[in-house]
Amino acid sequence: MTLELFLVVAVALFSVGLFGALTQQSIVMLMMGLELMLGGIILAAAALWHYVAPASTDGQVLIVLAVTVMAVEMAIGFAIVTALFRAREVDMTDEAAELKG
Amino acid sequence: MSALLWALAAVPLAAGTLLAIGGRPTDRPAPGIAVAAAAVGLGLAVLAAFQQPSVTVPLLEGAGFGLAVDGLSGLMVVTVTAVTAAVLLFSVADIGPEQARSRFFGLMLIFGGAMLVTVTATTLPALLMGWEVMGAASWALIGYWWNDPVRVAAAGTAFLTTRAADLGLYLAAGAALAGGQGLALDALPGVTGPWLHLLAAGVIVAAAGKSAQLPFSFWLSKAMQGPSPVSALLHSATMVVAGAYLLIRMEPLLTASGWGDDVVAWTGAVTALALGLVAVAQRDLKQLLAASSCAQIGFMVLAAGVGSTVGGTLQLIAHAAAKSLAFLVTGFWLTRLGTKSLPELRGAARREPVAGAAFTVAALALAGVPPFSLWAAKDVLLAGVLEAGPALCAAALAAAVVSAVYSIKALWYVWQPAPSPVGRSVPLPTTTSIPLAALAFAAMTLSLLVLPPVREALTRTLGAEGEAAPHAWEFVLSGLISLVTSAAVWAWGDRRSPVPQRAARRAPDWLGLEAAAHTLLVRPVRRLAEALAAFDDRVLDRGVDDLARGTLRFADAVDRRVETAVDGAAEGVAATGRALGRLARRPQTGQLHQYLAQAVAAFTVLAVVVVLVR
Repeated sequence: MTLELFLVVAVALFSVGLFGALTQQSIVMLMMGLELMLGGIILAAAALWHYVAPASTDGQVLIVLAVTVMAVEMAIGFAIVTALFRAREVDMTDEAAELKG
Repeated sequence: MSALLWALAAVPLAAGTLLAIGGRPTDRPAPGIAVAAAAVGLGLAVLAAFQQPSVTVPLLEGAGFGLAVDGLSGLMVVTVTAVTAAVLLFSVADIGPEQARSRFFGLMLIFGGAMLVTVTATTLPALLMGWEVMGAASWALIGYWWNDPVRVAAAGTAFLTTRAADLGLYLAAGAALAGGQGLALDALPGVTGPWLHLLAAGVIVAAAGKSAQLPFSFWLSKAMQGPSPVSALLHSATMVVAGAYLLIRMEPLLTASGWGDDVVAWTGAVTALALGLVAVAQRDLKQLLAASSCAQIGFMVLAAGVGSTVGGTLQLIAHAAAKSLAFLVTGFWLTRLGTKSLPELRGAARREPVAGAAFTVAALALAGVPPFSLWAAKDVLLAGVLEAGPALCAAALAAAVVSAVYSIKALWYVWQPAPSPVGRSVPLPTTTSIPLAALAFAAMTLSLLVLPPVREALTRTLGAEGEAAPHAWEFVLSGLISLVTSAAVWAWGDRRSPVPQRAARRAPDWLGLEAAAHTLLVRPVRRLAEALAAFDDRVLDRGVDDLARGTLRFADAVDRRVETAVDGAAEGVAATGRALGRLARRPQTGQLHQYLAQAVAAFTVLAVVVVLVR
């Protein structure tokens, strides 16, 4: 169990997530991609903390904060998607484009 | 010495200027100040005549401002100041307190002062200054009642006529400068070549204009629109005699030019005769006296032409006394009886014996009846004419006869019994009777100047030795001529004149000189001005307008053609930019998956290109 192994897994997660984020047209699927990317990043950050600076606690705090923010963000995201679907039967990014500037 | 001369010119000019610009506030003290200034001027003039001072101050390069009193101007300044004082004293009663007295007295003093500068000037600049100020003052005085357009127009006519002739003096000054002799009056006869003739011609024209000689006489008729005291001063001691004085003073120049003296002599003789006949034809006393002034000054001009300095000067002084007296009495009657037409003046002399007697003296003097002054003066003058030739002499004698005719005609009217019984006359105010008495006294006693011892002294004073002296028989002859003429006219009364109507038709309106001046000068000038104005309107102005219009049209064309093209090009660039912008916006959808697809496509193309190019 080395740092490289964790980072490889994190990169795999991130790459899968990025692919999803770039290719999916469904908002839900796109947000799944984002989840995977964030998961990869959190995994990499935790591994780095564990292997590089296990003595300090701020790494843990930062990770907990990131996890919390991710949860809140996803909750807001799904709330918006739900509202959009209820209002206009929209579940694809192409149709939700009126919000662009 | 020189202070005396400066004071002589400065006292009337300064007092006059102050009064003239003082306006209404100085109306009350104006007569007193003016009469005092005139009296002081008279005293200074007498002093100056004996002391003969002279001053020169530098004015222009080669032309100083020079004043001097010699024999001739000594007599002139005394005459001018004496007549000015008498006329101003008379004006105290004539120009009443309800008039703008300050302006009147001030202008009269300026008028007299300018004449003093004119007669004492020794250089052309000084002469021109006096000459011009006198002309301007005469205009202001003739148009004194400025709210009457007729009088203002008359003043304008008089001023413009004299002013047009004055240009001759400027021509003369230019010729004198070109002749290289400087601008001193004494040096003028020394000019050589053609400039001399220009110089003489300029002086003669200016003098004839100022002196109302033919063909300029008509302005004097217009000048009668002014107040009577103005006429009295203008006709006797200023303005009209300025021309005669100038010719007497410039006599060497006239002789030097070779033709000037003849021209002047004939001008004087013809004027004396023709304007005398005009005077006979007048029905208005002031007009009669005005024409008589032209005629009597014609005698002075004649004297200057034949080189009789003594005769001309005596004639000038004697005429000044008689003519100012005649005008003052006329003005007095005009003020008191409200008329100046001869038929209505019947009995005027019987109402106020003092004025009547004064007018009688003046009229008899003008008629040349012995022993009055003009009779004697005219004979000294005629002695010089006798030498010049029989034709001139005949003309001069005829003019003398005519002068008797018009004077006695006026006298006959005023002594007729009045058509209606008149009331008791009011005694004359002292300020009126003193000048009348003084001038009448002068008109009677100036004959003494002709007596041989006095005349010789006068001749020496004037530096005119060697001129023709009159013989005793000439005095007797001319006295007889005027007496016989006077008696005949008196007996004739106001019956129709024996002259045929056709010949006499032009005389009442001054030989139609004014109409002639209008026809020959005013109307062509107007016509020319109108033509030039039309040319201006139709050619120059139109050209400018058309240029403006053409420019506008051209600008419109440029606006429509060129500007739209340029504008279109700019618009096209902008539209292309906008279209390109729209094109560039199209792929930027904000859809991430589309960006990925674009990137994949682009990289694919790139890869293909790379493969193909390699």
